[in-house]
Amino acid sequence: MQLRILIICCLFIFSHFFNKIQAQNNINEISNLAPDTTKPELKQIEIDLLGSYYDQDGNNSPVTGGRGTENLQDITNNIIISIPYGKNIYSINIGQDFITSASTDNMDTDVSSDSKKDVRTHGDIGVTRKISKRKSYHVGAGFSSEYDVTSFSLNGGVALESKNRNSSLDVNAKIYTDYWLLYQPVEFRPGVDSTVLANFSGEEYHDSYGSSSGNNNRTSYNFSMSFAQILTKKLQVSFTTDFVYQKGLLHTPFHRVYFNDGIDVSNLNEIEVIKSNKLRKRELLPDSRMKIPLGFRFHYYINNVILFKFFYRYYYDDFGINANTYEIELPIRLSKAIAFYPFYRYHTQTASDYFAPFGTHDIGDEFYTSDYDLSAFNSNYLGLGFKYAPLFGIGRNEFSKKAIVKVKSLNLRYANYIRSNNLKANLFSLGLSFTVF
Amino acid sequence: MKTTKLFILLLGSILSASSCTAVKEFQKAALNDEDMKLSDSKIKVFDTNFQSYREGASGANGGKSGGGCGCN
Repeated sequence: MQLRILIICCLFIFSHFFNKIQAQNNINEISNLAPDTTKPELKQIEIDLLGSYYDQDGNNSPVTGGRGTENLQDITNNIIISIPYGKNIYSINIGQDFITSASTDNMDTDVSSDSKKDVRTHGDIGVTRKISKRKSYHVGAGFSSEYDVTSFSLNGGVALESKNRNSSLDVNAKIYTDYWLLYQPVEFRPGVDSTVLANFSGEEYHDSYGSSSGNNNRTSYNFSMSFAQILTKKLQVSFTTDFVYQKGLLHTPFHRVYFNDGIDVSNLNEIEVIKSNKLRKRELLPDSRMKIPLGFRFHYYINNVILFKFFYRYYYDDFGINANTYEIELPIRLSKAIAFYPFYRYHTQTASDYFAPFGTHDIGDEFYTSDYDLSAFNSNYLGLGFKYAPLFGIGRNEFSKKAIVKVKSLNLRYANYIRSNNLKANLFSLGLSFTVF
Repeated sequence: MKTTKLFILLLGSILSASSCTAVKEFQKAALNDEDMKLSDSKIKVFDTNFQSYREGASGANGGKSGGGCGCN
């Protein structure tokens, strides 16, 4: 019932906005029909170099059934290039993540094995084409590859602006297809039984990751709409929604779930529990999921020193998760070149219908997970950003008469994340913006 | 259900607001400020990515809503 109301409301609102913008655009459409004979030329290229260091720790890893270390570090780097050429803007986004995960290492019992490290490489290309003064469309494609998952994506969308440029509507569609290698926890691999496990050092099955048969792909369909409206000279708002439908493999094949079988393992560590006779299965979730997040943004320009930015999101999915997220950011300008960005985010969610903690699932359960990302919790996210962007740039280098590179701005950001189930994380980010002209 | 009602109220307000007096181009100096953009800054991509992995809820904020593993 709640889902139907949400869908009907969203469709009604967006159709209203679409008709309004379309009606305004039709009036002046004729003036845009004349062929454009101007020769396309290359404009200023923008390059962003981004990097981050992420560190987390907790004690509810789903790899060991909702108990055990979640220690993880992730170093990422990204390069985003935007090339305006004629009516088109070409964009390229390439990056890599270097992940060290003590949790994933517990897929097997060989501490510090290959399963501890992962490298994720990803790339996206896209083109946005302006077809009239207030209409543009874009198409793009992307991929990502990591140890056990390869993902491809295609996307396309349209952006419309009203005649007075006070309203705009973006409609986008995206499809992801993921292919998984079905790595299993060590005790589920061929030839490993409880007797073998009891005397197991780990090395014996180091090279046998036990890739099992079964459905190994996931498709995600994403349809998003965003409507932005200027309300006053200092205030603008937007309303965004994503309809996401996923089907295929939605559980993670190397997540363990321990059941309530009366065996007490509270005094054993994670590796000892793996080697014990405690009843366990691999995580199992339904093969389809519908997600509907609705977001609202409110940006107010208080004065030329301070701005007020607010974001709220309501989230619903058919796994049983309902969530509310609130975020506030207050950009503060100390001078024309220096700005600080203090921010705070609060998130609260209910548990998925399929979640239960370590050792509490009933063996008769149809679906089961002990992944605390799907549990009920609230989280606090607090941080500070810094931006240095002098009017004429931080520095410039003239490579030739036709290529001058300018360092436009420097961004630094730190955030601290604390979840009510004791997962703690820190994120440091760095960004450098360049222009080439 | 309470949240849904709140959202409907919010949407109704935006609908009414979209009929407000138009702000002219020359009056948009504050709105054209880079920090007033209704999309997230590029450096925030790392925040939204890790939040979409660590929380059951994701989307409607420009972050990713599918694709890849995020299972570490």
